[in-house]
Amino acid sequence: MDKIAYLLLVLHAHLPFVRHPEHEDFLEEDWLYEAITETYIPLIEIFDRFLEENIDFRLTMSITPPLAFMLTDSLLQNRYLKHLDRLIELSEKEIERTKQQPEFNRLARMYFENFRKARFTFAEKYNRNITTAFKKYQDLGKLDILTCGATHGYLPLMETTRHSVRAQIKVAVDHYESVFGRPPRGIWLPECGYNPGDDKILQEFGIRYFFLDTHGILHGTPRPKYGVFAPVYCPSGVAAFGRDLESSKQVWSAQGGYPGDYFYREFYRDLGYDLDYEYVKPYIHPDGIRVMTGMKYYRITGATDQKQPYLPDRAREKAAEHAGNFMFNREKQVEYLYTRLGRKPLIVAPYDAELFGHWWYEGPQWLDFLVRKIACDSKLIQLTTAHDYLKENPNNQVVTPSFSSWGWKGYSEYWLEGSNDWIYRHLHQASHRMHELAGNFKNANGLVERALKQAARELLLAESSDWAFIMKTGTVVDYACRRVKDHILRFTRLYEEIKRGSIDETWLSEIESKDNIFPDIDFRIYD
Amino acid sequence: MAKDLESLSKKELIQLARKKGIKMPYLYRKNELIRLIKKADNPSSPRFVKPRGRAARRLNARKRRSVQKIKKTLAASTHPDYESSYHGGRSETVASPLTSPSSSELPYSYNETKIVLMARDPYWAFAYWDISEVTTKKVYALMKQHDSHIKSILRVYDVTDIVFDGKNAHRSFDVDVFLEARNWYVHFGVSDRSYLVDLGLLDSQGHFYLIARSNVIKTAHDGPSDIVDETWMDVDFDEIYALSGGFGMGLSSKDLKQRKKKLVEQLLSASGSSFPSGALSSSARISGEKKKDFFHPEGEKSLPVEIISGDKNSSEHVLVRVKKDTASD
Repeated sequence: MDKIAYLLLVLHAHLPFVRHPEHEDFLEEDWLYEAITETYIPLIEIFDRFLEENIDFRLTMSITPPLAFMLTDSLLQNRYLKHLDRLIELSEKEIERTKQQPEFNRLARMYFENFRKARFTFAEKYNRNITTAFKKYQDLGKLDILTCGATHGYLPLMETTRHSVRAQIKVAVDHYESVFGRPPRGIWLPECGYNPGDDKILQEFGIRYFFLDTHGILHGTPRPKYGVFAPVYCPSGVAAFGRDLESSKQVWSAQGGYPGDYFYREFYRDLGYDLDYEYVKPYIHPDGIRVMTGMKYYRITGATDQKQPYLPDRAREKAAEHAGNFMFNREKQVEYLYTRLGRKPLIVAPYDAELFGHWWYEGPQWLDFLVRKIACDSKLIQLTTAHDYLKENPNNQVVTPSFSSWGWKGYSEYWLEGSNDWIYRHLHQASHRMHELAGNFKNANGLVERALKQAARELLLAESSDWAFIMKTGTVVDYACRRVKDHILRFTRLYEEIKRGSIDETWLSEIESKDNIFPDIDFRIYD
Repeated sequence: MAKDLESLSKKELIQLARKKGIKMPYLYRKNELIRLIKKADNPSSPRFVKPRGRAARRLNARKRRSVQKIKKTLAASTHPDYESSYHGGRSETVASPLTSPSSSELPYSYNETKIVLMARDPYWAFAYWDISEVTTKKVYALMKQHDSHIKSILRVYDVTDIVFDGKNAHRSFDVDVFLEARNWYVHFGVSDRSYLVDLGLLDSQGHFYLIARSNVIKTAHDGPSDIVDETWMDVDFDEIYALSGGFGMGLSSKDLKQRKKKLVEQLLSASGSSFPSGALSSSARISGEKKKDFFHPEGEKSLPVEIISGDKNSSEHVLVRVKKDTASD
């Protein structure tokens, strides 16, 4: 292998735990269904084709514990299938309705085909549990699956409750093993949030590497000789990989980035909003709220409301062109770096997985082209995973990275500002109380143990960084506030009942069946 | 009723307002307080009324101080423009009916006296506090005793690398706070230090009455470390820093070379240099007395800079004045 550089692509897949058995149709559950249809299944289909066609690849994906759990939950699996069947029905109707409009008719047919294929992949090939697909590629050595905080809790804001940091890691590691059949090697820290010393906790639970935003490495101590183009070892021996900004920008940026190309599919023009209300009613929310269906007929076109019909072939050519451009730019970049560094540079390019397919419809095609081009055409670059890289390059500098995140302004401001700072006094209080319970009821069994486990689940669910994030973005704020309050209130009631020694079993069973994540949770981690 | 209220003094009104659960009553004018108290007595209207007039101005001034924007190139707006599905994209009305209509809310207080400090970024921290009923009584007694000539403050201590004994801080400063706000954003101005804060009351004689002391936080270094490991040294860390994206994500490696050249040219022309422009190659170097001064603390300062031509045959000395102000934008 004479290639002079490594490219490490990371797709961070995450959704918060959204599961509401008490409602037949719950809008926020659609986040999961859309991501399965538009992102996770298209990725699996690409991996399947690589395998069939013998295309070698190395990719990294984080699958966060709440996402992994939801993908294995039978209630949500069944609901997803129902959701997908409705989409298939809608696309059939659309083929009929657009008979006289060939430019839309072929799109309706495209969706019909894609949904049918998705159904096959989901229900037949992987038996409703698509974590087994990802596991298959991990077992083949092609895919490195990272874990994450147990509920994507943002660690730097847990500095005064370190047992919560430990629980976020330990519960995640345990759950990962139950889903993927072996302990995780690496972790995607929630929002890349890192505080010096967190690596010791990772090391304690057998994690060997994690990822940081650029300045987390660059501002580390001592100065990192190779910048972000080589990982560093924390004093604990855990390796930290830094994000390359140049490659990130080309994909992320809304203006200059690839996803804004005028030939790509327009995200906001969805049949759920465009079609006659009576006609589309069975496919939107039963309360009559218009929602996105995932069927979209237009391309971005430009800064105009007069959108043109989507041309799948033309969009596909664009995706190929952009993949070529990405590879060309990386080759230019690494040619210089290789001579400058005197060592094979590593380019770490992480993205939110849901960007691919959900937001950027052609993203999975772009990835498909990119992997093939690198496998077949590139003389300079090889794909790698953190594990493979460290095996080939075990000699790295020891640096303590800096406090950082990949959020707005690079630190904690997105999760700690006027809209969401009120939650922390309650999260910290609950965390201290959980610590107290775990110490006082170490040897609990039976009903008390069940209550303690549930208390730990409620605390973890309240800690999801998603709630603070939503409060700041201003999207579904009521829902996010409600979730924090509900989990804290459930926790508090459990805390009081456990201490009083009078646990309401009926109520406990009810919340156990609602917030059923982490069935085997080890509450003693909070001690 | 209204008449009765009007006959009360402002101080009495404030006390009454507190009893009615009105937050920060001292922010309001007398007539506003009367209106609020009446509202609080009438259960059909909401308790919290947006402050207007002077009260609003004072609140806004507080917000302006708390909510600031850090001007920074690195890591600014590196967060995805495209966010995963639930992060936006849908219309705001699209949300399920709430699971359980709020039967109960979270407690206002846990009846404990404590203050917690949380680092937000290299320059700012967030402090929240809770004061128990018993302590609240003591605080009010103290306020009464001083006839309101006493204010609540956060006393910020720089305790970098020391065991703090109450007197040995590297520096300390006070921030006026509203006790009832129960949280505050604190600006330190200097990064890479350890801090703790005391919440308390300061009387007109300068006596400080401690209510609670916070945990210690360590803020991040806003820039590359000054520490270099000899076995892992690079001849030009600035370049590696730049190539890694350290100066902002808008720049590619090519842009950077051009930017560097342009900066050199600008410095030269501003200094009325005698450098022939042809003598400048892209390898012309700016050699600051200390390069790390790129990452200097808040405020204005002079930076001596030496510009060396590509062939290293000639150099110029230029004094650059730099201003760093992260608190305003």
